[in-house]
Amino acid sequence: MFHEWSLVLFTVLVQMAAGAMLLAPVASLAGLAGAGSGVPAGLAGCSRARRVSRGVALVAAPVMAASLLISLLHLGTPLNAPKTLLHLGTSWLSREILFTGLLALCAVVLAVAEGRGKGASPVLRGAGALAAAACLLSMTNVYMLRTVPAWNGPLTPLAFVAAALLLGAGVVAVAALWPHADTDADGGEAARPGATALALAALVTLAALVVHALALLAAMPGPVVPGGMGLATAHLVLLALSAGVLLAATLRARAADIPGALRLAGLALALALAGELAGRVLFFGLYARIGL
Amino acid sequence: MPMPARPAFLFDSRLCTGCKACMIACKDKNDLDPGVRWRRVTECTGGEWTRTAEGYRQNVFSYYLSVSCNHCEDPICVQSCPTTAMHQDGNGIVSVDPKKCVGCKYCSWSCPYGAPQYSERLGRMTKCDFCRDEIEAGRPPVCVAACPSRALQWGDLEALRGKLGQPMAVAPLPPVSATRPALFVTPHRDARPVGSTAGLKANPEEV
Amino acid sequence: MKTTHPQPGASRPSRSAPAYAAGTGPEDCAARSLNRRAFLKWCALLGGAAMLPGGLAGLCPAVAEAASGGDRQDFVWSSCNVNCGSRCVLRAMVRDGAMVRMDTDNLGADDYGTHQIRACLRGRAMRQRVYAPERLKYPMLRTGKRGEAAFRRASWDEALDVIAAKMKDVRERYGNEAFYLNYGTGNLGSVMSKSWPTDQTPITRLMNCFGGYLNHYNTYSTAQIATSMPYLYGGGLGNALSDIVNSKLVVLFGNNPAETRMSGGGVVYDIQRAKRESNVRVIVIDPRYTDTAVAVADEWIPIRPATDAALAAGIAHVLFAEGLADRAFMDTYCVGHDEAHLPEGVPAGSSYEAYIMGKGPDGVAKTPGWASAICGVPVDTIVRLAREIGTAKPCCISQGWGPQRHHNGENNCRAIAVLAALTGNVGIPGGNTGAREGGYSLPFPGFPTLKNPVAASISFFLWTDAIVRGPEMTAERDGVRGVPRLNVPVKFIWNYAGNALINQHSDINRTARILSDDTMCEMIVVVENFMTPSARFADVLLPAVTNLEENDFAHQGSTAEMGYVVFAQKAIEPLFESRSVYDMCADIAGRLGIRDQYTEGRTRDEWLQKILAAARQKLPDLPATLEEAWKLGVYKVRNPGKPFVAYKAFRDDPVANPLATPSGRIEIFSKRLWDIGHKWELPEGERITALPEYDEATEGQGDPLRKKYPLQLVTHHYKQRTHSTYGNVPWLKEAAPQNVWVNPLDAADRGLAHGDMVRVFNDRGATVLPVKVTPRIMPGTISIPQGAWYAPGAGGTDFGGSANILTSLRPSPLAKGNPQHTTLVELTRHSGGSHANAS
Ligand code: SF4
Ligand code: SF4
Ligand code: SF4
Repeated sequence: MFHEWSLVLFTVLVQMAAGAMLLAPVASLAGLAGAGSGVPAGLAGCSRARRVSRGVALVAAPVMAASLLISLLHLGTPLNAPKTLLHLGTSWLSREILFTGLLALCAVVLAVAEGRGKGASPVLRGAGALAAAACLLSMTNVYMLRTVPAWNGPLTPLAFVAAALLLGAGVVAVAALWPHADTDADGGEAARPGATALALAALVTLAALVVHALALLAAMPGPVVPGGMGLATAHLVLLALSAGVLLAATLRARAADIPGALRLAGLALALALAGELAGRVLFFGLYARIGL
Repeated sequence: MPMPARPAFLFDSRLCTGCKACMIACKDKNDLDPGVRWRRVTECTGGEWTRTAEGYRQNVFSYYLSVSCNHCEDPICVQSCPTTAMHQDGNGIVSVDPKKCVGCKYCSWSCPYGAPQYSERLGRMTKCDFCRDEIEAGRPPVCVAACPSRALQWGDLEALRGKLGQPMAVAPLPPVSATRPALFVTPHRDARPVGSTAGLKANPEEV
Repeated sequence: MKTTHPQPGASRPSRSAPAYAAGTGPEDCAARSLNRRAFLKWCALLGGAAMLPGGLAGLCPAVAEAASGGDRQDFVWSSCNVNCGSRCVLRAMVRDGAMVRMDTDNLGADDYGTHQIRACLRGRAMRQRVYAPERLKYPMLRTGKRGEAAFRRASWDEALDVIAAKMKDVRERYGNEAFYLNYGTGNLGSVMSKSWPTDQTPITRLMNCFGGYLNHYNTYSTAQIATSMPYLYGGGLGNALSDIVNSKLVVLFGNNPAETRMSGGGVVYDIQRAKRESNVRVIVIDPRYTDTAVAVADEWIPIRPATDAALAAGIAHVLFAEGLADRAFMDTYCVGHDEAHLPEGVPAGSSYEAYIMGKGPDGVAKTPGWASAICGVPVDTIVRLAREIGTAKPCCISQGWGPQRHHNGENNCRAIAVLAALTGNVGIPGGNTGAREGGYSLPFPGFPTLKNPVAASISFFLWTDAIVRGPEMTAERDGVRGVPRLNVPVKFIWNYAGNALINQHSDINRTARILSDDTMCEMIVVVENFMTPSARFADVLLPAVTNLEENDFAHQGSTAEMGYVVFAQKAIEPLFESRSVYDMCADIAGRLGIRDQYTEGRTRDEWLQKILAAARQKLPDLPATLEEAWKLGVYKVRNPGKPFVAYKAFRDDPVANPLATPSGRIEIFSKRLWDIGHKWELPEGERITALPEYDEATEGQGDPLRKKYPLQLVTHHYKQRTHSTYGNVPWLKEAAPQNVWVNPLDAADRGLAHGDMVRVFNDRGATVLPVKVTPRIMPGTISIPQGAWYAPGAGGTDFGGSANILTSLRPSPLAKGNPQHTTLVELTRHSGGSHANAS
């Protein structure tokens, strides 16, 4: 089997960070929408939105830093790593490395900005979301090799985008529930956008689960991977569990049990991460090129 | 032979006995580590046995393919390489610049011939360079000069094209369209067409 | 007749700018900053041979640099001297006293007849063999129990003193017949250091000066065919395979040049060329779909091993029944084919026709149906094959040495050959005798080894018997020749460049038991390059140089149309304390007081010069001095005539040129065998027959032992090794890993998948190795490539994949030869540990 543990970790973690950075603005908008639908706290809404984007940035920055370090472990000659930016013209891998670097940079700048009082500007957040999208696109294309049929189909984009949304949503949910001095004064109020975000996250997770199942189906009949059935099962079961736990978290949040909801959301994120890692091992296991 | 503008391999599968003199000549010249195989010989074997009233019947067939890097005209390895370490020179020879290679192995994932060979010791990709030193000196690549059956030959891509038409392939090689290899294969009498799964790669541990 | 091969000499292109192999650029390695000598010193410090270039098993970048760069003039001509049947040219590229690359004869023109003698993969891996970590470094004396490989270092003086003293002692107590020179082919084809033929080695000369030694006849390769063919033809010649351009059909019974004659100057190339030229139809009959079948066959007919005589009889039945037998030919040239041509004093019904048609003593007609049940070839295939053979004029029927290496091998090979006689294909272009191919060769003198004063001779295969029960061995029971009975058991064994002490003999466990008792055979001297399985059984172990470390001549291998000789020059200095075997023998002779007789006052190089001068008597074009010879490297001559046709003179005029049989004809019925068959004492169930009858072998098709051990084990020659030589070379093990071939049907019956570790076993022993599941072998038959080094683990199980842990010491009836392919076994998945954790 194709043992690429460092790439399994790298791709899943980067996708988690990228998903979160893509979803953070969406979640913020959703939070504002929540405010508009009868919750009389415009300013609080802003705060909640900011709480999400701050939480996301605080998660994404270290995750991206770790991912970049892990990616170095895959390299035979890490000292030559800067040279990987030399082939942006034709190499998707080169582009992926560029955009992953940019994404990490955005995450760090965002985290610093969010950590300093006023928060990051929408431009910066927008840039982060753009970098995330570019990173996901290039990463998908890295694996869409014309000589690797199992990867060169719907599997790769579906699996990668679904993973990004699913894990990103989990991060957003946790961020929305994370206790924070600015907004926790009105504990009850915080529950509503938290619940909305959670419900959204659960929806995204369910949708991603379906997409994953479809993607796997699309990859069949692919190369037979030893242990493949077990990995596929673990992958889908863990994601289903994650969705279920998120739903439970939503109910907890609606019942204004924020600490309880947070614990459940954290558990859901952990389950999703485990499920994605299993799925990614399977993904790499499906590698089989044409020819010799 | 003077250095061709664009060297190409010519492999007559009818003659190949799978002896691997080509592979060992290459390993010796380049002092290759265990597991690093710039030229590999694939055994393609198929056919079935059935027990019948009159004894066993079978339709077994087998043939060999000796393949290194084919210094392709559409080299996916070069296109994929993030560092430009994997590069193609004016003669179409694709080789690795060890000063640039980062050892990400991406070229070897993408090459449908398994030509780029990773060296754990060097932390870099290594591969066939068409024995550039030999052919510049007017001598054949060592694998060609080694072949006891004279199954492996070489020449100028355009000249060979003029003589033989477009390169063609047989199973389990990839379709020529994948990378447009500078490799002309003369099919063995039992060769199966590209894409056929009637024969299996029978020696996966050796290639 | 002599046209020398054009050598590229002065016009040889020299290399200009140094270039580095991709990925091995010197900038990648710390060793780069070291200069070459410092590097070598560094290597030596780190661990002797293991760290010498090549012995590093791979990239020592400094070596790659040296091999790739600079001017390529500094190569040295040498050769590969092993027992593969070919003989290749090597060119060692040498830098600062170390070999950095092994090239071959690939310079200059490649015109057929003086074409390039390109080495096979093994020769190309010679560097890793010479610089192997298993190289013996200094003389050693046994300290532990024999076979345990417990040794201590000794000086050359001490080791040779021990040998000389023991030689005197054994001669005094037992006489010269107690000395045995074991078969060994690790240095074959050279002149001054050859280890085979056994009567032509430097040790032979020493022993002859010392009063002689017990001879042996035949070899592990060809015992049965070499013994039985002369009863048929008075010899065993065959047409050259280049002659198949004149054939209408070629039928190869177990003949597999692609795996047994692998040189690019050898028979594999000859047959491929001829096949390409004429596109003659080729049928390969073999339990395995061999690489020869891949390369030249139009049809593969799988056959159960040891049943060739049955298939031949089935074919003969069709030939007789359908009037396809060539009566006119047989009546003129043969004896015993029909009742009208039987020798005097033989009962009616003794002819081959009577045997085939059911009119012989057994009353069984050898119909295709009868044959099919035995050999596993479908009836319709037998009938078609017979018609093809009977109607293709001329037809080349040829056999390799697999069909004869059986317990019933004498009759198998004679039965195949008789088909050639039945169809009148003997002595004509495009035909053949049914024997293995002949070819063209140059005469080249050897090292004179004098005459052995001892007349007694045993079968090469019965030396373990001669240790245990020598004086019981007689001419009529054990095939002792020269004397009616042996006088003494074997007490002193010389084992030079051979691995038949353990690995290549049969029944390793029994052999090891016999050898481990040092009161039986009292002294075993092993002269070797490596710590082989045989070397472990030495009492005195002497390190010899490899042929790359000494000057020599290498006489050609088997070829169809080219005669040649290689002038091999020393490429590197002897490693460690190793020495040339001639020098060892001269020093022993000195201790025995016979130095002058042994050396005639010549050094080894002076002998070479003398032999070269002698060679020039017959080949005046040869260079006069060693220096000139080394510059030339290889001298080639194309056969000036037509491809060799065996017994052509006999065919042209049988009266003027009779065969060397008693009748002068082809003796399909052999009166000599008839007499032997009535005289010799044979074990229960064995026969020696005047006709090439099918006899069921011990452990053959009908043996009840099949219930317990249903699979027949054969062995094949494998590209990884020449027998066991090269068996320690990492590149070769990587290119061609040891495995056992098993048909998918047999694998499925046992739940085995390709690559699984399996245990192959019978009552004699067991070996563990990976399985190659392949349709390229007959169901019910498995094949282990022979020669892998025996690596005993727990409970005597071998973990090296050595086939001879399973084979039998029971000799064949007439030749007293090795029945290596008549072995019943079973096969299961191996669940225990590996070698390391099993012992
Ligand atoms: S064979 Fe593979 S490595 Fe060689 S040029 Fe073609 S794609 Fe690249
Ligand atoms: S040396 Fe020639 S015959 Fe042998 S495996 Fe290579 S290409 Fe085939
Ligand atoms: S093993 Fe035989 S064929 Fe191979 S190089 Fe040596 S002599 Fe030639």
